[in-house]
Amino acid sequence: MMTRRAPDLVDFYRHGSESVAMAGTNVVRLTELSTHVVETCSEWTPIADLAVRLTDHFGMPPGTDSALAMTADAVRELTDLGVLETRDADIPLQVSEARDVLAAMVSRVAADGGIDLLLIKGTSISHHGLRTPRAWGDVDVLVRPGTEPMLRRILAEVGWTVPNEPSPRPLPIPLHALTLAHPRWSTEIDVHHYFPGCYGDPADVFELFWSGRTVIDSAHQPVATTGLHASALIAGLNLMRGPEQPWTRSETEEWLAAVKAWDPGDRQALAELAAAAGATDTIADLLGQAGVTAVERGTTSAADLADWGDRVAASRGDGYEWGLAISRAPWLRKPWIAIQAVMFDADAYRHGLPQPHGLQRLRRSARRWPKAWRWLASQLRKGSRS
Amino acid sequence: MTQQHWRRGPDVAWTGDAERVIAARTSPPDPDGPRVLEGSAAWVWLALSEPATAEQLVALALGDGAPETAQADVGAALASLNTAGLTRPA
Repeated sequence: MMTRRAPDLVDFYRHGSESVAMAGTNVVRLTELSTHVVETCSEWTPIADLAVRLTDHFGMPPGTDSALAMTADAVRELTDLGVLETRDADIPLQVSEARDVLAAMVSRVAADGGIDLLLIKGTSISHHGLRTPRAWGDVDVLVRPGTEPMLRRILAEVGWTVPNEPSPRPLPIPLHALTLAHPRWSTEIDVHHYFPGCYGDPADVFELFWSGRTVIDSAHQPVATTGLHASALIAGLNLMRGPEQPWTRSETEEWLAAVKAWDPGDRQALAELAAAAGATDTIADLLGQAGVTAVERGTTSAADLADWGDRVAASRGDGYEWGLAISRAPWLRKPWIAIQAVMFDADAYRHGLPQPHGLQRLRRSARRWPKAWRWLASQLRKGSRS
Repeated sequence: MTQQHWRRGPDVAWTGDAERVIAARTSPPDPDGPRVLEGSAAWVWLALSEPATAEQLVALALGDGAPETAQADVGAALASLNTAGLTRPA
């Protein structure tokens, strides 16, 4: 643990070996030892280091207590009085350690705020035996549509920010989630307000998933997550949307093996849920491979199928999304977007330009320029042929 | 005088083992993020699966082969856990 003088310590007067501090509206008289602590800790100081400095100055403490324990007690008392503040020492945190704890935290924050939230992907998929657990990944949640700004506001009060704000301009592929980050957590939260591939009304789809939810244990706390069938649907759509991701082949095999082993009632329930969520056509191929008969095929609108096709194609690389952006832009904007396509990756376009780390991104982009120019030239050749 | 019993906060999410525990308050959440407990702090956290006094924890640690500094270590660990809001009086 580390400690430092509290930032709201209004004033600090030394009088001989003792002192008086004003913390907020409290006036506190400090002993010689406490005065020395406050003077020593103008910056974050490990409590073990502070104990050594106090021992150097005052000698070993009387009695059986160690200098470290007595220092910790003194720091606790001064923290309670508002004279000091404390935090953990900076011990690196691994994603695998933080993820379950973070899932529990965001779930509870939402529940306290009256927001319906489901943990999706990740742990919810492995919990239902559809995939072996991964040691990495963000925390993905799906909230009742319309409540995501409220969740964002609540989390902002405890230090969560949106590192990359979504672009205000219409995007060729609309964003389905907002990423939140916190400097003290090693993993991020992706807040989904709908799930790609489900083309039913987002509020109705959420209600379907919510009514079939399961409560699991995550870091010793209850967390609401999607039930068996919704977890399989979400996992399946994710696999269908990223066919060329390096993990897709092995995870598809796991998904198929799990669903094939289900009893007929569960398999039928999955097909019916897919139909109710407007996902029959987007997941039909995978259902077919699992021997599940899709119901109500051919009900997805042409616009939704085109959106799905764009998302699948975009998962193969930035080029497709930039191509869409160029083709759908007004003529006067096309050259500007083409230049952006050469200089930046698609993520920059999704979140508006320039980015907070624009210079760094620009340097990274510079390494892409030769390949990007070749790609742009091929796009222009294609355009001139059509 | 009766010794104070301590217990884990019921709203604390945590994972880990005797070497290292990651813990975070969930209600209200801690703006400083999760806490990484190592060494005696991790041991005390796991030992608090049932409410216990500092003396009981020290006796348990000594029985577990802890060195003679156990009393000081347990005291410092409990102080640290209380300051972080992870434990509370039972």
